[in-house]
Amino acid sequence: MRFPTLPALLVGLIASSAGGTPNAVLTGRVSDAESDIGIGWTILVIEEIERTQLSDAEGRFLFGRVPPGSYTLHCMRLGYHDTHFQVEVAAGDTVHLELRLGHTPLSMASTLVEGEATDSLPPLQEPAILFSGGQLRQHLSRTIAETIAGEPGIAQRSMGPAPSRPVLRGLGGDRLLMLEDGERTGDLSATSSDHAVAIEPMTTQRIEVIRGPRTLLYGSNALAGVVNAVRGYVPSNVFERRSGAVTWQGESVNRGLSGGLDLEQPLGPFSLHLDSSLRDATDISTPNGNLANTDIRTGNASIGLSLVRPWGHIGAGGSLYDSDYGIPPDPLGGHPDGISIDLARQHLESRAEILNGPAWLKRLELHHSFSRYQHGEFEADGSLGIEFGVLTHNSGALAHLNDLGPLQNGAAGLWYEYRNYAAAGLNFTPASSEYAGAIFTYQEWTRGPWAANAGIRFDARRVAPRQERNSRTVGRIEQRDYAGFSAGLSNRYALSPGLSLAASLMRTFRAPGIEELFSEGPHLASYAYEVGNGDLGSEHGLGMELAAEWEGSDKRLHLALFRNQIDGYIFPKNTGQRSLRRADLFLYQTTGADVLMHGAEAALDWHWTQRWKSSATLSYVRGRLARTDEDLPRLPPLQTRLSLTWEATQALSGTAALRLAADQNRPGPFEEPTDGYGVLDLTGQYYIYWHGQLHTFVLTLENAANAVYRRHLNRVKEILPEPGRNLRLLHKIHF
Amino acid sequence: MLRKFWTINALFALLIAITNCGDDDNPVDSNHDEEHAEAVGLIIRNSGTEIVRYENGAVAGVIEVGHEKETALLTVRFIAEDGDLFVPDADDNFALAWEIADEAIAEVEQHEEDGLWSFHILGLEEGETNLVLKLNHNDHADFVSPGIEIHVEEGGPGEEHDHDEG
Repeated sequence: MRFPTLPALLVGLIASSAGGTPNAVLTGRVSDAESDIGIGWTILVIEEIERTQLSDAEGRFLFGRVPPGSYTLHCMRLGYHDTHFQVEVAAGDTVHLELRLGHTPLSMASTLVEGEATDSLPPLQEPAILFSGGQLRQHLSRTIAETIAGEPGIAQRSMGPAPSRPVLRGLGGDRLLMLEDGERTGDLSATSSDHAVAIEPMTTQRIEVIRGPRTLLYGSNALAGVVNAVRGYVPSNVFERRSGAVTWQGESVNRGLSGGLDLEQPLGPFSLHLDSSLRDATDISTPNGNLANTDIRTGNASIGLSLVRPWGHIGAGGSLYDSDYGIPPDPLGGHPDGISIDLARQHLESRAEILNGPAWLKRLELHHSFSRYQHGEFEADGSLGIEFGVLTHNSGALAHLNDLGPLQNGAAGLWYEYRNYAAAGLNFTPASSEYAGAIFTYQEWTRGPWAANAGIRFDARRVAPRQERNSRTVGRIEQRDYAGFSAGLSNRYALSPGLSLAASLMRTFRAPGIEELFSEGPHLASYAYEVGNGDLGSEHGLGMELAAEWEGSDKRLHLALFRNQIDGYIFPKNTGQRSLRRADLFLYQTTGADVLMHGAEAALDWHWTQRWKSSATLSYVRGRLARTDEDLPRLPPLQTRLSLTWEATQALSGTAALRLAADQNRPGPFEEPTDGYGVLDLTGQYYIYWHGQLHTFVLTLENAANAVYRRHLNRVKEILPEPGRNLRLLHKIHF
Repeated sequence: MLRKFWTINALFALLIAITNCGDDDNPVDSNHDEEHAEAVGLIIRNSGTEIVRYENGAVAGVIEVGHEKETALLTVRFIAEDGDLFVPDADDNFALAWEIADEAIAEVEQHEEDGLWSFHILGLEEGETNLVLKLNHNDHADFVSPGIEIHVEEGGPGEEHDHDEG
């Protein structure tokens, strides 16, 4: 076996000492604050221990095996205001909660019979951005990036509709971790803009964006943040009853149809999770014609089974993801007929959680996963251009520590990863192995109006090519070792009820990857002849942020200013020269350069009557290469989104949203400027209880005016504009 | 307590073994033992005289042909990184391929007796277009040249084209 059985020994050791402190049970009912009618299918999340339950049709819920402590219970339900409740549970308690939800903040009706509802600042544990429930359904798109793209600071890199990936504050690629259930996906989406993220949004329960020191629990290089798609396919809960959802979605712009099924089934002491989805779409239609070779076919299936006992749980699961998609033709870029990509990922995962270990330990999480990823890029005549294969083994242990005085939600952990990388076709990148390990700790602290969180992490990485040699373009191809610290500190001070100021400081460390070091060869789908740089050093970032947040009874305002300085920023630089070997492709040489980025974000939500709500977001980022003072390529322009929502009834609402972007007149070297645009989107949501099931319908008219617009981060923007008018209908049945 | 320790220990070890027992062979066979052509340039000779050279990213020379005429035999030699001229071994699945930007102006003719690395250009219409030469290896191009200019002029060089050959 490749790995030591340390995780297994830890589980046994902790489990054998478990049982000293009995767990608590958290049960209760969610009801409408005005009518007292139970609210079914409310999502309840205990944030500190990431435990999720769905209330039944009468609004009842139950969390078993809750370790003693103080928790934040987050309630989310379409038609009601997202509400946080503070709950204290003692060892052996059975705590009954009556949670009353109001339709809007104006109603001020969110109350808790036992415990305390918090209308003040969200806890430090809460993600910076959270997409779930109705919001996730309203924005559910073809990819994770497209789904969350309207949020402040978030843009999407794309190259046709399939391979899009989020960009946060101008940082993407490996500086933005894309996780599935808190783990790396094992795909290659961070390395090139034509590579898709192997996560299907349709079967995703919620999407979190995490920023600040807490990102150090996941990686050392997430200066932009972490995007975590929570799918929960290895269950951590006892399911009280069979529940699930069936989802259908159709859209006109690509004649796309997709469907998905989620099922959670109790089996005695076991919990079973199944999900599956299919997506099929033809070429995207734009106001100037069809964008050829942008069809997508994606299938996804997962199964997970856990044994859930009072001492914790142990479970395993597996998933399959298969996607065929196209990259549009670019006659000037090297492939006049387009490229077809066939991507497949198989993933196996085991997880365990032990509660109530020694006195210092709240719970211990362990995970191990194996991912087998393969993707081939084919030319129009079916010939293979390039093929990648990656085997990834991932192991981790995370100990959540019991609170000690003002120190709360502490955690410490270990992480290990092994990657086996190979490329075929016309490509000279050597088959390589990558070994990475990390040790880290995180802590929160609260006293009076002050709250702080901090983390520190040490990472080491070895990149070992199978054969060492000299390359005329890459330099010496040989084993490289990297190691470095990353750390973060964030402070928040409550000036008055509802008003707070925050300051954050992050230092990040990033070692170059195999592709950045040793790539050599044409990559037709990204219109590039890629050449790595065997002499690259590690990348160090220093991020600073100042933020202010004000939350009144009917308004919420968030402002942030940030500055990121990155020494040795690694990126593929367009040299402006054609490859000698492939004169149809531009030569992209991986380079390390010092970079300075700064920007601002703002978000305003305003419930100005019981029925009307408006929101506005604004994002700006600018980046320059420090030595040459050139603008950094692939940065989004100034963007804003204005929306107006009318809640006609509790069940029916409509939203008009205007997406505006300024001209991007500061392109990077060999980049073209992009004109600004304005795009109108209209959305209606409706839900109804019918035969004991909750049916939700979302009808969206995207780009209602059929505007011709281009996004700066779309690599194929010169070929054709963004999708034209798109009518999308989603129907989801919860049972 | 000890029994519980070993039971849970064995369970998680089993799960790790299951999740770790995936095929340890990478699904992609890195084919770098396979020889790719090391071409970084080329020359074209007309009856032994060099008329076009692509080297260090620059193209010197043009192919000239008369209207409704065909050139003499044009022969390609590739330039290796060390500057040596070579042609790959056809037995290793190498082949010459080409693209002409405007096939109304000129086209490539390769007769059986010409061999793998030689061809003729036929001038169809007066004007200018570009020829891209590729060195194909199995199912991909190891080398792609930039556009090489073709000038088709009335009274230009070449032999009268025999349409029956065509």
